[in-house]
Amino acid sequence: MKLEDRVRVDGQELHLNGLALRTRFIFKVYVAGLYLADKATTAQAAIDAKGPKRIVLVMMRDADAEQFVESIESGMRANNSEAQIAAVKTQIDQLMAMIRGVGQSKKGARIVLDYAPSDHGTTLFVDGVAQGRPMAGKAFYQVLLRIWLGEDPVQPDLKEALLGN
Amino acid sequence: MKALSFLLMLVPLVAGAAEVEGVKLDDKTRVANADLALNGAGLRKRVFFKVYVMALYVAQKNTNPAALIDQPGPKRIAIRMLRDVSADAFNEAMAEGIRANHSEAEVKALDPGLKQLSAVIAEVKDAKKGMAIDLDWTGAETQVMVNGKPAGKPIPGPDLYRALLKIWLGDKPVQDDLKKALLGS
Repeated sequence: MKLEDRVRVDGQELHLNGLALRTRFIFKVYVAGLYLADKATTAQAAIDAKGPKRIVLVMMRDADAEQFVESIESGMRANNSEAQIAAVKTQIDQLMAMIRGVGQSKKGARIVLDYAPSDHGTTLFVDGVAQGRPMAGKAFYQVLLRIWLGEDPVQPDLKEALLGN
Repeated sequence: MKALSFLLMLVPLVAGAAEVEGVKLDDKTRVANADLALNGAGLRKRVFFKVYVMALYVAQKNTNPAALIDQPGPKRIAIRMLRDVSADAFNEAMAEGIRANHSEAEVKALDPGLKQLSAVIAEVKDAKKGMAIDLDWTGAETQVMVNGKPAGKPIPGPDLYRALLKIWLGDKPVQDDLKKALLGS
């Protein structure tokens, strides 16, 4: 990339004082919260915890459905074995279809993933509105939790924050 | 641990909320008729690499940031995008850079000018890879230039331009090595 040594602004000649590369640009994507019946400080304890659970994502910027789908898919693949993913393939397809159905997530939107043992499943809520039918099984919720709490989480400091560490 | 959590459960429920980045999350919630407590909360960030090349043009070269900011006459902050960045992300990064280098009262005073600037950038929409964005100080006004053409109306008053310079040259610059490079040191 070349930049001129001199430019004119408002009829005056200016000199290049310095030239630099912005190497990092940090975007805030969402604030995440994890709710459990009993406090867990380790990922294993949180993933194995019995009873209902809630993940809340509050969007800090607009994100389109495809971005969401991709980041969930890559997070799941990075933290679950092929067998674990294959076992909940139907539920994953269900969730992706719901996310695509919702379309763009706007800044400020509250995305909630609840696990309710009484429903035997996971329900997606967007701004308090349930999207479709619950996705079956506890294993699916564990696959989801590992996106944030797995061995190769989307963001290590976020994992620690969700564990209250 | 079990005993501790049992004790914590006996503590009377107090309505409260955790706050992360200005977002409030209730301390407690109910799912499937069970009381759940907020286990933890955090911010998901995404980092983009090699965002833009930038250059600072002034009438008299200087290696001192304060002297540069105070130097009268026209200036140019030239930004050349190396990747696509949405107007939203651009404005957010700019607002954050200004907040980091100014007091709350100063930020408040800057608000009208910043709003005008954000509106100009929002009109430009995405800053596309290869795009040339110049923030020019004419000596009286701030003018945004996109690919060599003025974008939006000029914004009067020197305070806004000084604040913009501080994003990169202030005490808490967005990137330390970038500040040094812009000072030609």
